[in-house]
Amino acid sequence: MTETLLDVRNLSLYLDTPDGDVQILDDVSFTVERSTTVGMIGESGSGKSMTALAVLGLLPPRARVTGEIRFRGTDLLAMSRAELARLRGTGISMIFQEPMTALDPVFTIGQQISQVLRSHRRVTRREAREKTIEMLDAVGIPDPARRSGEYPHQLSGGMRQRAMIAMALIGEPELLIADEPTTAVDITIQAQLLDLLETLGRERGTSIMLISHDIGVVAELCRRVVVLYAGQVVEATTTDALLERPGHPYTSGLMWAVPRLGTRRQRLHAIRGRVPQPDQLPTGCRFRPRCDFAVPECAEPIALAPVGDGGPEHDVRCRRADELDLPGLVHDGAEATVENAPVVQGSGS
Amino acid sequence: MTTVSTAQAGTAPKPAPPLLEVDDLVVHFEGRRRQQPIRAVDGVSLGIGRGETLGLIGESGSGKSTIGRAVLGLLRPKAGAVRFEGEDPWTQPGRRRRELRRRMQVVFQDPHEALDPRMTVEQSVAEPLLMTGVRRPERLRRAADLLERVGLGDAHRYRRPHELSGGQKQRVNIARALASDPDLIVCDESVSALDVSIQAEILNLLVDLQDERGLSYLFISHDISVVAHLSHRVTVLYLGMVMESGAVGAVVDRPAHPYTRALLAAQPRALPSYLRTERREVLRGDIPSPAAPPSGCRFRTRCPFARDRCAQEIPAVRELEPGRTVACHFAEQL
Repeated sequence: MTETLLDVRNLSLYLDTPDGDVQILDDVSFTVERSTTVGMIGESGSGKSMTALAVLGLLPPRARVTGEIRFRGTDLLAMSRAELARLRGTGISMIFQEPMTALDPVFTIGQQISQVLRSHRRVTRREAREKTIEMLDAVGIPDPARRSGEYPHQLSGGMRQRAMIAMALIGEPELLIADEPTTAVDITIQAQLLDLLETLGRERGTSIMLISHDIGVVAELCRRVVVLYAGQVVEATTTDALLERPGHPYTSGLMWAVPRLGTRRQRLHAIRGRVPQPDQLPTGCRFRPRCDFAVPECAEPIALAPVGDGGPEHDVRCRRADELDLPGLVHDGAEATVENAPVVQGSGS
Repeated sequence: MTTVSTAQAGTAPKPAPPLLEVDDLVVHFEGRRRQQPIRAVDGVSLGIGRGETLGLIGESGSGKSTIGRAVLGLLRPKAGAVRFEGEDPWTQPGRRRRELRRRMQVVFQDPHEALDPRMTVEQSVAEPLLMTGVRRPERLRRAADLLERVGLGDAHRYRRPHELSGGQKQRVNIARALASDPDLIVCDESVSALDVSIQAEILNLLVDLQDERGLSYLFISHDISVVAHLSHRVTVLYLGMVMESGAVGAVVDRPAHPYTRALLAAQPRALPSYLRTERREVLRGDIPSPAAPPSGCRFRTRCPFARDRCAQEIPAVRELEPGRTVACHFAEQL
C-alpha cells in the first residue's frame, strides 16, 4: 500500500575546508513514503538543513557526497544539472524559515509564482495568472487577485510564508521540504501555517518533510520522525512511538529539556556539554560524552538498528537501547509530568 | 511590650510597595511624516514584587519589549510612569537616577551582540564595577566569583566572545548583569536564540540565581511555555494593551480572555496522536498593525466571540478575582 517516494541511503557529506575535508553527514538513511509526513528533528549543527539541501541538489560547490538519494526510484546524485532543475518545483519543492530569502523583492508575488509555473509547464500567461490566483486562494491569502499584484514587502510575515508555500506548490510537487517554516512567525500564525500544510498535504497527496528543532511542531504535523545528532540519524520511528518510548538517550533528554506549560520552575533536564564540532567528533557514539548512560563499550562504532519491542518501525543508534527504559512524554496513558517521570539522571546547571 | 504587639495586630499589615510599578504606561513611536504615531504601549499597568518573576506574553507588536525598554529607562514614556521602590527615575536628579538604574539590569536575546568583541570575559564582567569605585583587585575577584557562579571556570576568564558558544556567552551576559548587584533583571528573549538543551541550562540557572539572591525578573518571551515555566505571575499583551494578568497557574489552566485561550490552543503539543483531543481552534487573520489598531477592543478583529459592543468600547482592565484581571466585556460568559 505504501510506496517509497524518497529513499536516502547511506548519505555522507563532506565539506572541503582549508583544514581538509570535514564530514557533515555520516551514513544518513531514511525514507519518505508517498502522501505522508516525516519530521526531522535536530539542534544546530545536527545536519538537518544540509540533508535537505542534498536532497534538492543545492549543496555548495565545496561539498562532496557519497551514498544514494533515490526519488521515485531514480538516484538524484547521478542526475545532470538540467534534470535536477526540472525536478525541482515539479518533483521536489522547498520552503524556508525566512520567506524573503526565497522571494525576490523587485517582482510582485503573482509574477514570481506565475514564472515558476511557466518554467515548468506549457501554459499561457493568462492561464498562469489564473492558476496563481487559485493557488494564492488555496493557501489562504485573502483577496488573492489584488494580493498577487503586491510586492513581498507589502505582505505580513505570515502572508509571505503563505506566498512562498504557494510558489512551492504551484508546480504540483510530490515532495515538499519545509525547513523551519514557522520558526520566524508568531505562534497564532504558526498554528495557521501548520494547519495549512496539513490540509494541503492531505488534499493534494503531497508528502511533507518538515525540518524543525521543535518536537511539538513535528508532533503536530508528522506521522514519522527522524532524529539527527552530529550528522547521524540516532533514532527513527513513528511520532507516537517516539513520544511514548524514546529509544535514544539524546531523544529522551531533548524531550525533558523543553519547558512545557506544566513544568513550573521545576528543574529541566539540561543535556550537559554541547554538540561536538564536526572536526572534533568523539569515537564511537557521538553522544557519548554527554550521555548519562554511557559505558566503556560506547567508544566502539555503533550502527542504527531496530530495537526489540519497538517493532520493525523503530530504529535506534544506541547499544543500550534494549536495556534502557527512557522516559517519554506519555505516562499511564496521559501526558507525563515532572512528578511522574522516571528519574532522569541529572546534570549540572 | 503588650501594647506594641496589640498595636501591630490592630493595624492591617501594610502591603510592601512592589519593587517595580508600571503605572498606565504609554509609549509612542513617531511614524514617518504625516503618519499617525505607533502606539506601541497604550496604558499598561503592572507590578513586580521582590523575588518575583513577572512574565510578559505576547506576539509581535504586543509592546512587550517596549515595556522592558521603558522600565530600563532606554525609552522615555509619553505618559504614565515607571517607579522603582516608589521613585520614578526620570524625576530624580542624575545621581539618584543612575543609582536606581544600576539596580535594574538586562539580558538580551543575542548573546553575541551584547558583548564587546575586544574584551575578555573577565573584563566584560568587571566593567560595570568601574563606575562603583571598587578597586581593581576587588573588581577582578568579584568577576571571578560571578563567572564561577554562572558556571564558567577559570579556563574561560581570558577568552574573548568569539571563543565561546552561544550558551557560554549568555552566561557571561548574566554574570555581567549580576555584577552591579541589581534587584531586577529584565530578560528580553534571553533564551530564545539558544538550542533547547542549552536553553534548559540557562533557565535552571535563572531559577537558582533568583532563589539565592531574591532577584526579581521581568521575563519577556514569545514562547509561552518558557514564560510559564519561569514566571510566578503573567501579563498577556496584545497590540500594546493588557488582555489578562494573574498567577501563572490560573491564567494557563483557566484563561479568562479569548486571546489567552487562542494563544494556549496554538501552542504546539508534543503529544502522540491518541492524546490529542479535539481539533484546536485556530485564530484567523493577521495581527493588525500597531499604527492602526482596531477601535474598541484591540483583539476584536480576530476574536471568535466579538460583538457590536467590542467595536465601540475599549474594555476596562477589571478585577475578576483577587490578583486576577481581565480586559474583556464578556469574560464571565465565555
